[in-house]
Amino acid sequence: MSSSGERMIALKSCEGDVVYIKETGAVQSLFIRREMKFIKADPAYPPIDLDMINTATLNKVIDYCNHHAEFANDKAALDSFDAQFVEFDGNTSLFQLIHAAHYLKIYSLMDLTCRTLSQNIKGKSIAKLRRLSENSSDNGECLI
Amino acid sequence: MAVLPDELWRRVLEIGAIENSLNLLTYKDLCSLSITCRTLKRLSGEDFIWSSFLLSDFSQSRIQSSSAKSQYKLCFERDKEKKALAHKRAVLRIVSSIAEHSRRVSELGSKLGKEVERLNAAALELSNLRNVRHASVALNVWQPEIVRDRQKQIVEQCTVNVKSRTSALDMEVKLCKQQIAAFDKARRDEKSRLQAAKEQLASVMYHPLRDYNLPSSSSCSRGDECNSKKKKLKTSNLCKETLNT
Repeated sequence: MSSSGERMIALKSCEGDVVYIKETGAVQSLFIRREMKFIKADPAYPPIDLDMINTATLNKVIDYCNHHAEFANDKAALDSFDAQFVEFDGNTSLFQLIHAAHYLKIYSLMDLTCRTLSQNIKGKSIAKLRRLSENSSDNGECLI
Repeated sequence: MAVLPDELWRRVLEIGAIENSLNLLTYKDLCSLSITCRTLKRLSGEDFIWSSFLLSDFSQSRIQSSSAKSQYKLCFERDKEKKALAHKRAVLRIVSSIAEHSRRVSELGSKLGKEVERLNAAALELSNLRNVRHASVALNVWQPEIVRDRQKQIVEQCTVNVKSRTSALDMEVKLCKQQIAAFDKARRDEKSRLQAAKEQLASVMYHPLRDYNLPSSSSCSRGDECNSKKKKLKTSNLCKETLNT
């Protein structure tokens, strides 16, 4: 029983926050798409539990999906969005984003983030040692 | 250390090394990655990337030795040797051309010297003949006895036909001057060629990395870096492990 307006899907992060994503954005994730049948059938379906992903990353993912759903045909706008999207300080949030994209099976986001990571790798050595070793003492609750 | 699971790292490396046409990862980046931690060392040594490198850099599609990475290393070393030999040959060629130019310069120099001597001799003889001519002309005029005797002496001492000898000497002087000019120009040209060859040698021999010999240098080749960094990494890994337990 989908409403005529934009339907919002509820997602729960590992920290317990419930965030909403538009349906058009949500279908970019194959993981959510599989759940869609159940969600459509039952309007009181509980929020999808994503205990691997923290709230900040989840918000970023939602941002990405919504934006891509909106500008699905406009390649230039998407490219500029993508370029801005992956500017991070350090690699920790990038790793979390890769995890999230992988778990939710959003392949375009995965490709984007993996490409960013490989570009970050290129041409560095000592700096790399330091940056990658930062991650081991990270907030490990939401990551394996 | 590497918080991503294997398959994600593989995807990253695959995108970076194979699919990303703008900013490909190279063998250097993979070697650097293999220094960082054990997981990445394992992952970055896998065949799928190295065989694509083999194909693109050395156009070899068959893996003959145990792993693609060692095959790549072999091809790389062979290529390096070839380049070193070619460099040596080029250097030797330039050195021999420098030797040739120097030899020619000194040869022209000696020829020039001889011509100058000849010129001077001819000029001397010419001035002597001129004195004789003056003396013979002066004898037709009245002069004091002493002077007349001296002039008679000069005229009698001269055994050659003054006129013809003078003209011959004039011709010789002219020729000498021409030769000297020609030799001088040739020598200058040869010197400039020598200078050019010397500059070429200096530029071919210029290699800032090889000259930089400080032990703490970080600009030495990645191969050496691997060895020295492995030691550092082992000790730091040990420390981390003891801290975590």
